[in-house]
Amino acid sequence: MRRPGARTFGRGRRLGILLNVLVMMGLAVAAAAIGIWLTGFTDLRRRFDLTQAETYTLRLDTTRLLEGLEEDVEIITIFDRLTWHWDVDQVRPKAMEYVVDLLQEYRVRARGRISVENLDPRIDFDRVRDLFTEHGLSQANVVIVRSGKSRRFLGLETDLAEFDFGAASPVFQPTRLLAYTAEEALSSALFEVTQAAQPVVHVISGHGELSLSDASEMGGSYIGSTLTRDNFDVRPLSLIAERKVPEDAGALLLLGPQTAFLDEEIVALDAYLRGGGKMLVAVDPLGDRSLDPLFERLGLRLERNIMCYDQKGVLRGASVTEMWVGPARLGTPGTYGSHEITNTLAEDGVVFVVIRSAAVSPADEAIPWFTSLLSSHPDTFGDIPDGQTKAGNYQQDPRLENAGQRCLGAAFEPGGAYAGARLVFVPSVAWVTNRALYNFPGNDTFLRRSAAWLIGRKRSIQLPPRRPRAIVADLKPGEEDEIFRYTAVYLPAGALVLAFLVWLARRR
Amino acid sequence: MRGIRTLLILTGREVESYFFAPLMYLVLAVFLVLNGLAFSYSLIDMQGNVDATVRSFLGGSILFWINILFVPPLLTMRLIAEERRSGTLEGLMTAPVTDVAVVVAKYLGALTFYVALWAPSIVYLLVLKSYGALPDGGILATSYAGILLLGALLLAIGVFASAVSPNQIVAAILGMVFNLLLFFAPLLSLQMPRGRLRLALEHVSILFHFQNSFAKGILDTGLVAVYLIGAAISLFLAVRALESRRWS
Repeated sequence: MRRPGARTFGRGRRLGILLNVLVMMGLAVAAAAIGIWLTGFTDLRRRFDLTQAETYTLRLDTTRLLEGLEEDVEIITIFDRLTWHWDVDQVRPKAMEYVVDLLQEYRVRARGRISVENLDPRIDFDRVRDLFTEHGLSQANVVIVRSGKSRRFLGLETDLAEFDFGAASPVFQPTRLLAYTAEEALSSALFEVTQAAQPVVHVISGHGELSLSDASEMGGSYIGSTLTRDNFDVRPLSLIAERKVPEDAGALLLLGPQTAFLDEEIVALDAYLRGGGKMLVAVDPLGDRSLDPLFERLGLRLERNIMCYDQKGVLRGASVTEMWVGPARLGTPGTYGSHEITNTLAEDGVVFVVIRSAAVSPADEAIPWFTSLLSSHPDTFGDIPDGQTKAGNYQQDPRLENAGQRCLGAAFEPGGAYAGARLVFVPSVAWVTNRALYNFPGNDTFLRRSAAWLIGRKRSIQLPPRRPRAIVADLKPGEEDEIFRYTAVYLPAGALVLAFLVWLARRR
Repeated sequence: MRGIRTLLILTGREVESYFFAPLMYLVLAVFLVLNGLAFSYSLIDMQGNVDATVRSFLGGSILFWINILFVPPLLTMRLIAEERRSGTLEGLMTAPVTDVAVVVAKYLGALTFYVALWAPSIVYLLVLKSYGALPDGGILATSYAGILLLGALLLAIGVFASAVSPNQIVAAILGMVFNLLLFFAPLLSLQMPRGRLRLALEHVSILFHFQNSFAKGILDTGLVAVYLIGAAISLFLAVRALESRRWS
């Protein structure tokens, strides 16, 4: 018989058991870690979308693209989720959440080719600041898609979701989320950064234009960073040195020349446009006029009067007027025309700001391919400048300066000898300066959309949008109380009755 | 085969012990009050939008998380600790059943009662249907799958806590502490710089799992594995804890 208190096992045996237990536990934890890694971070991982509308199921085009990815892609979301009391803040987070969820599907499906980083500017402050500096960003709520040197930037409201911003008063008609367009935008961006050729945009220099290397407020360095975000290769071009427009030019940007072009340069531009060239023209009403004959040959008539508006929406300075153009409901003095460049702007309610502008019109009223993108208020008038380089007095002289709605920017496809050419014409240059692009999202979007329209860029992958499902129970007054009584009172009371019955049964 | 029969018999006895205990119906009543409040307030808060209500009720409300984190330890606290304290465990251990069968049977009994706790919430759907609005079936399926998986994990942790505790009060507190750690520790990732640790913490966060997957109608095999492996590890540790009685 064993003595009380005697040990069952000897010391060596107990040490052996301890070691055995430790090894077993270590093996179990290691097996668990391997299992979690295998199922969570490798090709074995699967995500099944069981929603009725298959909200998160990637379309065939997308899955093919993801499975065929041969280059690594980095996707970074920068979403500011702070909610204010504006009605738009109630729906914006839904769109953000959807994009983040969809990217999970992209990441899993791409089998390690895609890395996704979700940043919140209020938490990941340093990282976001670095990205803003690196890419010349001024606003959050964007998605960066980048691979090697190629990159695309997608805006939440311009690319990833469709909103109805309702009426000016959110009380009467609050902002609504109409559709998610994220899959089309993300898949197209992925295609463009990994497979499509990078379109080249040349910025003409040598005549006092905005300079891509000038980072001052009135410089043009943001033009480069803005277009680079849309996967354009932006290069300066000296026509004086080159004598012709390079063959690889997807589009030309002419940004406020101040001194006259040489004849050879005009010939080079003319030849380029006759060959179906694309050009964004932003000219200062008080700037160089040597290209006016070329514009007239194209069918454009440029008024050199500075557009003024004596009422709401104009800030006047010594040499600058500002004209705000936006959806009519926002009460801006100017309105957008219907065109793929401005349609998104009109839906979003993003306001375009034209600073010191003239007006432009078709030389022949019958020209059908002229679309006014930006129209001024009917009360605006063109102030006649004093001489060539000085602005006028900004006061309407009723004898000379008639009020009336005028075109402040146009998309134009000339015919005849210039058939195939495309122009976006804005008789103002200050709208595209660093200050304007940084402060006004509408200007940034307008520039990007214009460049995309010029080169004929469509979404590389076209997919129908997804509508958010919203089934609402039709509750009448008092029915909420009824539901509360059924779920939080009667049902638990039933459990108490059961408890009593069981207690009774056990007593018997 | 014989082992499975033994397991079924033991499980049946455990289930019986739950359903013939008046105290468990009190737990059920409290659980239903909290669930009812969560559901009604979600419905009002979401202005009748049924999918949003389901998301809020099943994963988005604080009452849901109180139920999820605190009820499993209450169900499992007595399983081994109380038997040990009252001395009935000795009898069980000398019976011709393995430690694994004992632990698994107790676990399955608790899991069955846990399912029974959630079953009445189906009534809420019938209420919604009577008002002409049925939630997305996929979201419901994955939400309940998430609740089942989470219950499976937390009950297994509770069984382990019960196996290493001297009495049921300690077992309940230990189980709750484990659950709270599991809930809150991964939230530290929100304040962490990007990196592998943050990614790993996010991957095991039960809150993120609900918010980003189950409550949205997505069943992720990676997450299912986290729960099943976690439950298996906890039960393995519980068996080892039970076995340790034989070593002294």
